[in-house]
Amino acid sequence: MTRPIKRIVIVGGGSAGWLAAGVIAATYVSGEREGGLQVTLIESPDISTIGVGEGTWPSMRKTLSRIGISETDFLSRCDASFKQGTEFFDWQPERGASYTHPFSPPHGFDQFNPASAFLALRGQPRFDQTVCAQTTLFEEGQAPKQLTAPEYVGASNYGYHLDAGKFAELLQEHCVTHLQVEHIIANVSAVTPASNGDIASLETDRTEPIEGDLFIDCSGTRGLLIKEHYKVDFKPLGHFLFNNRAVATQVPYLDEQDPIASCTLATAQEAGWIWDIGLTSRRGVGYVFSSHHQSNDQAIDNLYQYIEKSLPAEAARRLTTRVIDFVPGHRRTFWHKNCVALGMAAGFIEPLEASALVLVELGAAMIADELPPNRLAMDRVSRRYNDRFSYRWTRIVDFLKLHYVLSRRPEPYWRDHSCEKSIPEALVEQLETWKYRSPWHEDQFHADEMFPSASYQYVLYGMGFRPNQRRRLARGRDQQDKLGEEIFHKTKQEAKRLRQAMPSNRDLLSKIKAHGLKRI
Amino acid sequence: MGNFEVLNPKQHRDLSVIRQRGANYGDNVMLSLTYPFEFRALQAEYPILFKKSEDTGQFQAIALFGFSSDENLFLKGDTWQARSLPLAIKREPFLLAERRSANSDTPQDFVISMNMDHPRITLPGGDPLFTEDGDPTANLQEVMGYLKAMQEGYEQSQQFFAALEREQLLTTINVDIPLPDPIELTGFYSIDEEQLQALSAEAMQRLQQAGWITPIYMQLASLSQMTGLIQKKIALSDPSNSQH
Repeated sequence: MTRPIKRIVIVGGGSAGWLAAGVIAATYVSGEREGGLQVTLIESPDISTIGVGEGTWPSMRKTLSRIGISETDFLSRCDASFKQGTEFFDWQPERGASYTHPFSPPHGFDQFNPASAFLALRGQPRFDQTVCAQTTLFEEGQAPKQLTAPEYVGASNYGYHLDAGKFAELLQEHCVTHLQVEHIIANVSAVTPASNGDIASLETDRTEPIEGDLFIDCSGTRGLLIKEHYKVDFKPLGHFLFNNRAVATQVPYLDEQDPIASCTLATAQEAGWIWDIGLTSRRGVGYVFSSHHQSNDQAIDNLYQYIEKSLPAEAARRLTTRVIDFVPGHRRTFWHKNCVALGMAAGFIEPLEASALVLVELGAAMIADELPPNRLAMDRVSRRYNDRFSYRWTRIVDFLKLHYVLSRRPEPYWRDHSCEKSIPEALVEQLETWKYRSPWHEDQFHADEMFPSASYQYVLYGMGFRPNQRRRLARGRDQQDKLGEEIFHKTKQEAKRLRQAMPSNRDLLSKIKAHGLKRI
Repeated sequence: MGNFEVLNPKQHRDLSVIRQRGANYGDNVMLSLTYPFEFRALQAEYPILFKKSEDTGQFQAIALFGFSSDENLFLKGDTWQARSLPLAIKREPFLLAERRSANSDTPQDFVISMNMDHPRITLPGGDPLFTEDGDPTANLQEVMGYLKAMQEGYEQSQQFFAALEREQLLTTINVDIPLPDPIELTGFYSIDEEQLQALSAEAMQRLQQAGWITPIYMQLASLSQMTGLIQKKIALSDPSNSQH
């Protein structure tokens, strides 16, 4: 029990597995030396990874930097582009309804809550454009930085859109070449338990048994360790968030100079929503929907109709689609004994706010940063890990549900989303509170909330939510409104500046491919 | 932008170039490019800093004349108050252009071109470009020398900065000018002196053999000219200062 933890074994070689390998191996010196850590990743030669276009949060910049990968390499190897937020279309029934959730908070948000001053404005302006200069960059596909910025630094906050398959390949190469991660290609055939119920080793179809002190299950929905071996309970979330199927395809740009979108586009549909992710080489487009509310044929038709807005009909209809089923939900416990699940093995929810990769980043970081010295100390860490990630999952569900619950779309799918029993209680209470005060810092219980109050404001006011109580006359209300006016004016100036100074995504990414970004 | 023409005696026989200094001749610039071989000559008067090219993001060296665009603190009327001038200034309004053949991407050679709209270009009034026989005058030959040196300097720069990046010798530098409306100069880089002191013997030898030690120290030495430049700026804003 007091024997030091020296060997970490990761099962599964998709983005989750290799991100975990990278973060952990970059944190600790490898190998047999005193205090060294051996990281081994075992993946099947037969199973292909999920491989869709994906979005990340701004945290990915720190993660890549932590792993030791240069932004220049990452961008060119993964067909990546810059993601500055999400644009939502048609989530309300009014023609042309749209709003964005940008990655930058409203101007001056640590000190100043813009909601009150915004709500006092006449003329129904958009919340996102009033409070956040970054949104101006979305109109014509402009980038969050210039070529002269050092890598990982931007004028506006950004994450990425990337090709998940190429991402896993890049991570693998880096981990094996520079971080001494041991890479084994084999199928796990059996799990050998220790006397205390821990996993002692894994048997494979072509190697000696692989021993380990901590096992990380990144085997996707199969959950080879957490599900198949330990049979940890699953907590379904389908009664809150109905989407359980996606039909996805890849859409070429008509012209290789076509603009690359600055955000993930999320366009609401009859029974779900369509994601549209702009990589450099192509767009990843998919319709995530509820099979209870729509058939596959209808969904595929919806998808084609969407694609036909940017591609001639014959070309659109020729695109091959693949159907991906999923069960929204997560393991009730993520870390059980000496096994922790990460990525899809831990859980999955529709990609509405691109939460999948950030959960992997957070998990890998916590494992690396709180790695217990020995088995005795592990249960304390696993308890905290489970508490923290259970909390995070509830917050994700609350926040995602918020997007749906505010919609007035008439179709049965959307009406069902407003059904009280499909709304988490915490969210019901929050919505009541927000009728008379705006989301603000006191709503955050943890220092590191997944979605800060700014995110809630973007969605709430973007969807047109308005308090239905008259504003109580606070002292200094006129000063607040005046301060608001000044801040909104500053935001406009900043927006103008950004608009003039920032290159297009397309141009910047080509230049980065040709010249690279510097470290400083 | 500019109305550029390739210099040739047939078209440009009668043209001359005004060599006087002055803002009306385009000298009101905040900086100009410079090259490692030129650092020694310039460091006694100008701060030499590095910045990234807007176009390619690659590092380049510059000599600094002022703190905002169009500000040249060395320029007083038609006098440029310094003993040496960067080549990049002396060769104005000429530049070297690559001449490519119609069906290939590799440059064939370099030709001299100039911006016909530049205020330095005039019919009689300045120094002639060509003799009666259509040969380049001594002045023009001097310019050709500058341009050739600049081209070599450009290639030298690429290697210089590659070496600096390899040894991690670059660092950001910010300059704060204490004025009633304070100015902050950002986006510039310099040699990281601490990093330089901490270099291994092998790294120093590599730099030595490539010939980079001198320009490195010349750039560092040039930083002491920053005080003088700041004083010039302060004097400009408060004329009474000049009575010290």
